[in-house]
Amino acid sequence: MLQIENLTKLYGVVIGVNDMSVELPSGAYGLLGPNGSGKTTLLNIITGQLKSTVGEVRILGERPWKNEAVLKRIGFCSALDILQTKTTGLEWVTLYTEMLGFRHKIAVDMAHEALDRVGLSASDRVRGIDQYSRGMKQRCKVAQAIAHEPEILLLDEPFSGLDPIARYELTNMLTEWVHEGRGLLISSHILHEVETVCESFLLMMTGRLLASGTVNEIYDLMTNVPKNVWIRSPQASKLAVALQELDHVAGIGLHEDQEGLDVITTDASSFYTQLPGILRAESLRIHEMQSEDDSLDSVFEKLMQLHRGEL
Amino acid sequence: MLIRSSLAVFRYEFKKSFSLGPTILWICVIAFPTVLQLLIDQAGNGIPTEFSGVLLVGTIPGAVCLLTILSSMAPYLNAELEGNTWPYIAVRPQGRTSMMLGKYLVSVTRSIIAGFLAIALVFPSTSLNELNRDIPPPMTVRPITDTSSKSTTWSEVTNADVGTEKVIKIEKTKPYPLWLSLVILVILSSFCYSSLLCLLGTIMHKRPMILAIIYVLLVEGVISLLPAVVNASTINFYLRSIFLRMMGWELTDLPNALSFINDPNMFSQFSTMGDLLSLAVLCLIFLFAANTLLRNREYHVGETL
Repeated sequence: MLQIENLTKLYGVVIGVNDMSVELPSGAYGLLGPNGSGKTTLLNIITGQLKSTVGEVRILGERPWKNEAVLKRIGFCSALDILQTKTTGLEWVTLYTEMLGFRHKIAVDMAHEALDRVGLSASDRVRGIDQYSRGMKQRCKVAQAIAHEPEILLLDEPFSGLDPIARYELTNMLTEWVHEGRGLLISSHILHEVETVCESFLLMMTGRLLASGTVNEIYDLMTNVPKNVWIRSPQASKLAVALQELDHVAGIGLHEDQEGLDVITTDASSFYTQLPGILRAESLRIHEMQSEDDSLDSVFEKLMQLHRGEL
Repeated sequence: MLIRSSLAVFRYEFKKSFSLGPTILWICVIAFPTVLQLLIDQAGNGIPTEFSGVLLVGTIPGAVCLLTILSSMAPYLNAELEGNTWPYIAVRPQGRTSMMLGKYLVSVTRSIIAGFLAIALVFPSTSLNELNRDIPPPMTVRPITDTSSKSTTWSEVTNADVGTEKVIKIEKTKPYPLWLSLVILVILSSFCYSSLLCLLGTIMHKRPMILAIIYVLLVEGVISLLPAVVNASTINFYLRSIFLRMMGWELTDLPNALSFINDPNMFSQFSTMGDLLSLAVLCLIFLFAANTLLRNREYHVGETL
């Protein structure tokens, strides 16, 4: 679906994408990263809006820059809000469908179908876009991307501005899209929705690809990354002394109330296995224990810290 | 596909262009020549009627059409970039070209409509209707001796005191009526100035109106009036040459203040067909250059990183 080889994009002296290489077979992928990480630049290069400074991008086996044939096979939704236009949502989606070479009448039908799919009601679609809420504009943007049934859908922050119901509906629509065997690449900050739709992820920061793969593959990458475990015990100081004997415990912090412990371990699995034995041997009790959750957020946060050299 | 796509843009943009605010402004611009002429009529004998024809050339193709084109063509790319709709155009096959051509057609159509309405308004409602019937030349002219000539050419006139000078020799028998000359001029200027402003809007997409106004004033306003070869690169040069021939005016005996107009370099030395061809070539060059730039440039919208 997508091949990226040593891709670098420079804006003068500012680096948009920095020496990125990845190959993605057909499927659904989440593109994750903070603001300014290069997600939009990458999507703009993939969709042929920008050209790479160094390296090469191929989508569906072809270079996208000035490639008319491949552009017809992809659908793209920008993260930017539609600012202008008093025209209706239907006219707007129809225009971009017609610009793909469809006759007016066919384009109108396709636009209706796409707007049905994103859940923009028949009465709303004939109102001016300037009267739309952000969520309605978002639906319109997604509709123009899917109207021509592209092989690959590239969405930049598609959940932005949507209410929970609309998010749920869009998630369902995208899940269905993926189940139909079509390609999907979503850039997003809302990791929960991406996690629901996509199995694999690309994690970006400062233009670099930090990691790629499934959640499990990314966890594997983090085997040696320290994890935090928070423990509440009436004998916290004694427990701290006992825990510091363990090789994989990299640090221990005692809370001011003398009941809380922050333990940093480089091998969480061994820590959880050995902890009950230590408690039994030292006759210690614990009231509460929390570890960092294994959601994508925490994985992402850890990778960021790793990249910044904080771990 | 390009034609269909361009027509789709044309249909969409043309409909969009008739929003309330811009339409009111547009109507004011269309009414401007008539209002000006009514004021001149009210002033009485102060201003010679002969100059009204020239004034109309300045106000209809020169102001009504140009202002319409300025407002619709110059910011054609800027509007997409500022409105955040550029990404949807850029990801369409030939989207950039069809957007440009579609908006070019909108600009030409609006300019022609504005010009025609201004002409239709000014003649019946002002004293110019008489001028239109009689077609009097607005400047003092002297018929050339060889009136049998059927084509517009330059000829040399030798005077013992002054020496040899080039003057325009024009067919006098069948000049066009003023309204028809203006109609032709409106059509030509709509196509030509739209292509020029299309290029300017592509080159400087961030401040297109400023650049366009400066360019039009400087190049089409000042440089085109210089009696030098450089004015042959301006649209105004060919338009006024064509207009002169259509009206059957000869510039051989002008008042001293306007004697600079009698310089051979002030008008095209081609035939009317040659001038039309020059305008067509200029048009094509402008559109081709604009399209080449548009297709090869990277445009950044909003927050890019």
